[in-house]
Amino acid sequence: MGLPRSAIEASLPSSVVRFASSDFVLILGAGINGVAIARELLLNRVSVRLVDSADICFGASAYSSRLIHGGLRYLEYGELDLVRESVQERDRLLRMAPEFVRPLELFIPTSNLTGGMIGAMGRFFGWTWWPGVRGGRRRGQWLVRLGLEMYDLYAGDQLPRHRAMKAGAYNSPAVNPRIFKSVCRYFDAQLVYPERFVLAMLHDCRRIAEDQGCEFEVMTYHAARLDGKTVTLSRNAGYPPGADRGAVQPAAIINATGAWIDQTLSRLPQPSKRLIGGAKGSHIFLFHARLRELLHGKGVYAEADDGRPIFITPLGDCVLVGTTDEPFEAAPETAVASEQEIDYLLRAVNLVFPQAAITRRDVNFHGCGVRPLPFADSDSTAAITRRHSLHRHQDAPLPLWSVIGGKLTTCRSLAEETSIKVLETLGLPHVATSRERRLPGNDSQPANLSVDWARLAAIHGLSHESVSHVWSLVGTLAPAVLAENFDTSALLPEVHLPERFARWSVRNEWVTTLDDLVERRLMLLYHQRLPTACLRRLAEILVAEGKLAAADAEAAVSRTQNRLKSHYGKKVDE
Amino acid sequence: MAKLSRTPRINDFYEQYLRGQDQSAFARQVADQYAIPTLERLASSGERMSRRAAVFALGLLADYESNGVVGRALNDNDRGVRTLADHAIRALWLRTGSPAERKKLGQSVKLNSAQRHQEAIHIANDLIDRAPWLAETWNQRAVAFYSTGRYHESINDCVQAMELNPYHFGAAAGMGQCYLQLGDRPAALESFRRALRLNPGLEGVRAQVVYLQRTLKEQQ
Repeated sequence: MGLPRSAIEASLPSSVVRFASSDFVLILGAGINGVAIARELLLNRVSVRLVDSADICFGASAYSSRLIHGGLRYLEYGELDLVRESVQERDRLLRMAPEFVRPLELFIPTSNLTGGMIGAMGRFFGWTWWPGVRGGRRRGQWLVRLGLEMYDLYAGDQLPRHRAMKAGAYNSPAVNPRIFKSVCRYFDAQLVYPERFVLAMLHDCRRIAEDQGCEFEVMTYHAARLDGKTVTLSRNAGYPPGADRGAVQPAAIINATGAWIDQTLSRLPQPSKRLIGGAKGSHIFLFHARLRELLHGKGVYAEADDGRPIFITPLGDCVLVGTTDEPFEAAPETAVASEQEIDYLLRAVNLVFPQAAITRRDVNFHGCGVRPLPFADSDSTAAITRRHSLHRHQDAPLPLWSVIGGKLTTCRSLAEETSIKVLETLGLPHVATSRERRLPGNDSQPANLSVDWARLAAIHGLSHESVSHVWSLVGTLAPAVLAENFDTSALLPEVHLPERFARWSVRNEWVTTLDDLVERRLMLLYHQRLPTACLRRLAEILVAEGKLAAADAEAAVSRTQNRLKSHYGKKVDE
Repeated sequence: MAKLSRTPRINDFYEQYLRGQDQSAFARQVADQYAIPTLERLASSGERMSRRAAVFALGLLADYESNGVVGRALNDNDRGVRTLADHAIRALWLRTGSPAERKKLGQSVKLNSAQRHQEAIHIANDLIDRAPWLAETWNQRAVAFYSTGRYHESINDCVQAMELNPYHFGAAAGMGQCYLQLGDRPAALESFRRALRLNPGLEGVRAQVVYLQRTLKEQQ
């Protein structure tokens, strides 16, 4: 509660932009940053229209290492503020989204005591001339412990402090004993499906908009053009006609299109200096029982043969290995993991776990995204700051900002900072934050989860596995989602996901194409076997829900098959 | 004019309890009249009877959040408060985490007391993955390791439990037992002393300390 809006407006200097109750803010980019900003603005009673030229979470949000981390590595570059902020946000996420964000025990294997000390000192102080500053030498135990000691200083008391132990200690990953004599353990957290996290934020946006009496609309596969103060939103060519809004007049625009920021600006068009210097990062996903066994359910933060850090973490039923870091100049949507990158990651795994003897055939699929890093003339992309920033385009006809950088962990704090700036410019009061707001699907659980799952399974005629699967996607929303009155208890072929969940998703989660459903709603990439029959069934559901013409179903299936193959290297079984 | 009573009402409740031994009535009366922060204040700065009553009440009503207050009461200069704090704090250690986590923790305790240590380890592993910040889970796993002769692993978990809960005298004493089994008597003595510093009421541990001090001196 505070002053009525009219009183606040009356007291404002004339320089600020007046914001009428029918006004809205246009956010371009439905990735984790765009959606988090939408949520923050809605909490402050500002209507939002969220537009993306592709789907929700189409860019870097879906291609991260899925770690919610304080940023141990940023310590080496002296970015202490970023570490502090990240750790705070990590702990907050563990509390506010416990179904999605889980603690993860990570182990850093070390082979000697003193390696890498000198180079790291140079990096910390930003001395480019210092010997060894470009890395290369394997980090020794002292350096790792020094870093972890500092990390613990920032980490507060939610997660246990780091420990050094002998390689092969109980419940630690069985790293190569010939190279690694000891391991340092520390805790961070993991967000298994960022896509589902973003969808949960969108569900929250919808809920907030209803509560606050604001407008909230999501428009995917739409392009925006700016003419004076008017923005034309038009459906991309080749997509079924959607909610074409024609010309609208937003009060402000936020460009949160990540790696596409410069492209978005030039299409608006809005002249600007270059803001993004993309760096592509690839991951591989392995289904390998032996490797999972060796990991003991923990993550490993190791170094590849060139000294770059590599994560090997369990993720759902598979193991994620990543990431690479290479400058990338082409269109972000064309980024695909190259064979060299895949080999590099495989070599890194085999260095740490030679017993697993991983080969190219074990790679079930791969993913590649472009990090929206600020443009800089640096030859090492690792040295570019991971800090986010907000760039205001002063010469634009209406308030326009571009959101540069950011990462999963700090999406909320980025959104809070951004919304404060936007509200200030629009002359609106900052009345609320999402700091203590739980995400939908993260309500406190019943005391006995397994009994609850058994009950759900019995009510809906589903297996325990199917119920736990739905739970992993929507958390505590599962009972409500499964209770929606659909007439089937059928499962999607091979993947054991209830069809009714797919239908719920199609109705409630802004699905346009079959790709959206497969890649970013049902998370089917993460199933070892994905048969064509499953894609066909999903196409039928899209047809039944009026999202796809019956005549186009077969073409959609083969298009999806092709995309899975060319973009992810994922084989679809007949 | 009625004389104003300066003794807190909790003293009356406690005296009633001492006469009738009706624990649930005491808990109900206190819960009606007192908030946890008030009980915490009384436990640390009330007069003797109030401290006793408040520590007893915290053991019935509070959760792990009151660990520090009750932990300090272990070193109260009144023996009654110390004894009550010893009982209370063990209950607080199990009242932590979400309902599901609490339930799992309870299971691991039960399995350990039923000598089903392998199963206890299994449950504790699960819970540690899920909520590594719960000190008592590490302690329960340490107990299970100790009972199955895995002393090094047990020591590691004791260290972890003490790091997360600096008042965990149980983990300190357990660590001492592990060192004894491994034949490292100086380390055992150190651990037992630590346990005693946290909780001077541990008579068994005191006897161990005296014995170890004497034997180590004789060796010198």
